[in-house]
Amino acid sequence: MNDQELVNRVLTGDQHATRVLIDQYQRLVVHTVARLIDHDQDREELCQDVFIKVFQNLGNFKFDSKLSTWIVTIAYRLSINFLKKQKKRKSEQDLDKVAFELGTADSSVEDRDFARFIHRLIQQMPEQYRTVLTLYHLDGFAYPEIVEITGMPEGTVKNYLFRARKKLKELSEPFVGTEIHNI
Amino acid sequence: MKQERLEDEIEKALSKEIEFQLPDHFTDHVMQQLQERQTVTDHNLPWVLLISGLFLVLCGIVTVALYTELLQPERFLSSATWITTITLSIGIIQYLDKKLVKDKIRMNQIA
Repeated sequence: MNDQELVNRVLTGDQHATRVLIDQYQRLVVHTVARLIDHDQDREELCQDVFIKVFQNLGNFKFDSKLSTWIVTIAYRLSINFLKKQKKRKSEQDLDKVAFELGTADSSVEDRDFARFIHRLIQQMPEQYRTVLTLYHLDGFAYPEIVEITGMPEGTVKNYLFRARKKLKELSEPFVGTEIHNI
Repeated sequence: MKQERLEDEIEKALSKEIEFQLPDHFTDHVMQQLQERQTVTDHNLPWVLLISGLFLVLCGIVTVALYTELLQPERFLSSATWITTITLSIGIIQYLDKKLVKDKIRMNQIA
């Protein structure tokens, strides 16, 4: 079932199609929300709100963009609004001024998982860096789609991606010994 | 060589899933929420129709009243009184309706 067919069936009240849509786009919504929001309960509630909003506005969706882009845009905006309301936005929006907590050498060795270490670093970055990294690397969105989702200019998106990756490299380099998995 | 390997490892780490999963009942919960909201909308419909009807009636009355006032200025006080009464009644109905709907949503959320 393609997106257009799926949307049409949801709009006619087909419950099975509604379930399919939720299951199909759950992963994307989780990535966007979980990258920006810290607590699991808030994440779950926001994911629910995203889908409620999606279904409330599905009738207005005109397929000007991909359905996935539209849904992620809703997830991104709701997450940012949530952070604004909770006043939990990181005050420091400049990546170079963020004081990253790398953990002690011992805890890093115990962790033994480079991916976790990287994800921990990403969680400490300002929201816009976290979002572009996730959308580009994890969800495979192209630059124009990230521009549409975040409302940032393409040059800014590219700049954030470049700087975020550079920062991850700088921060993880000292921990890399002969065996990278031992971090 | 080490640099290239580091970059590869970062790329791999970036494409790894975030360690957060929604509970198994998530889809059911969203479906339930959607149905409850639909119920609230259905519940609201008769009120919307009633208020819209009353609004149209009020518009008609105001038109007639204004026309009458132009002809009979001495009846101004009585017509002003019942126009105000009707307007207030509609306001109260709208307030009660909103309150009822909000309570219903809150009850559903608690449930």
